[in-house]
Amino acid sequence: MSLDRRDFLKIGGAMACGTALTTAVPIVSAMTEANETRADAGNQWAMVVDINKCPPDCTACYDACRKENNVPHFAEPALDIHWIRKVTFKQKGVPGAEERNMPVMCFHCEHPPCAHVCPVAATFKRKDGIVLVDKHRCIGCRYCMSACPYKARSFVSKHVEHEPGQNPDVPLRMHGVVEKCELCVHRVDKGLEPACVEACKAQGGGMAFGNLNDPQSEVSKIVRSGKATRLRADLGTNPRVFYVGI
Amino acid sequence: MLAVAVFLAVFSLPFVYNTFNVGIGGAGSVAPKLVHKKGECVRDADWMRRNHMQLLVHTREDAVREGVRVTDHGIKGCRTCHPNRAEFCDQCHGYVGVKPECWDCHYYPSKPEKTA
Repeated sequence: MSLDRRDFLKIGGAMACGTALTTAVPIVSAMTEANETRADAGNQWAMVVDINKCPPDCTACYDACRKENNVPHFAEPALDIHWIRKVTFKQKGVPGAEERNMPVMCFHCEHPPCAHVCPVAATFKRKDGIVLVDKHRCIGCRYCMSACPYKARSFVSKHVEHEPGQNPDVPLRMHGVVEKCELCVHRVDKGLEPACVEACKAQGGGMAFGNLNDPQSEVSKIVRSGKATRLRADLGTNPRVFYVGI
Repeated sequence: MLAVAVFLAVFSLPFVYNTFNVGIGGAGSVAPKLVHKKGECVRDADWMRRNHMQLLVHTREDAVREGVRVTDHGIKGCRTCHPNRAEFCDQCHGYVGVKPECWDCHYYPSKPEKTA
């Protein structure tokens, strides 16, 4: 039997396709079997904070976060770990402007500079847009802390002990890693809202959490209304935490 | 002569230590005894003894990176049959002299989790 060049290529191509299919099918089916709770790119989690509803002395989100995530408290202000910071500010150039405050946490940017600079790929963005630190892999180099324009990250500069009353759903952290707000990923995966949002809502505050891809969700309605702004939008990081009333 | 005696003493120290002390198979060592409920593990016992850490790391990568939170192959799954960490993880790790860092941060779950 003699084959011309054209037939040889056809047969070769068909064989290559067949091989690719037979290897791909079991892999794909294995993935779909175990993926009931897999982070889904169809959900793009976002948060809206209406700072008009932030009373000056309220620390509900801050306290709930510390409790939920076992965030350690170090006495030295320079070393203390913050997942949410309470920032007070005054409008510039407006005489008699009142002092206001707002919670600032990790913004889970669409283009996270922290993940970009991480030399060991410890910081990464999940498919649903949550930016996380894999603390098993973090080497504590702190490039991400320099890269983050929002000062969202803290370095664990001391040993942290297990203590009674901690939340067993969230592991502690080792001395020498960098950590930050995880958008309560353990709660989000269970279908709950982050602890700060829950605590804020209980106080009648202005935090909302939801899926940007869902046009009916509260956050996407507020974002579409044009009232919501992002901090330092000029940087192009596209934060997923929006503020109303700045 | 003294130098030879000192050399022999130092050289044989590990053997002496192992014979009279708690090293693997030493006179003072107690072989670990597995405490568990009756039933089958997620893999067979021999495989688990050698490779459980790979299963845990695989589960960890899936959970952290992909959000797959199936619990029966992670430490929460271990808890369903091995309720006591000291009799399970610590006993054997102490016997073979390895010090994994899992418990520096993680909690050995106090109640059995529902497996997915």
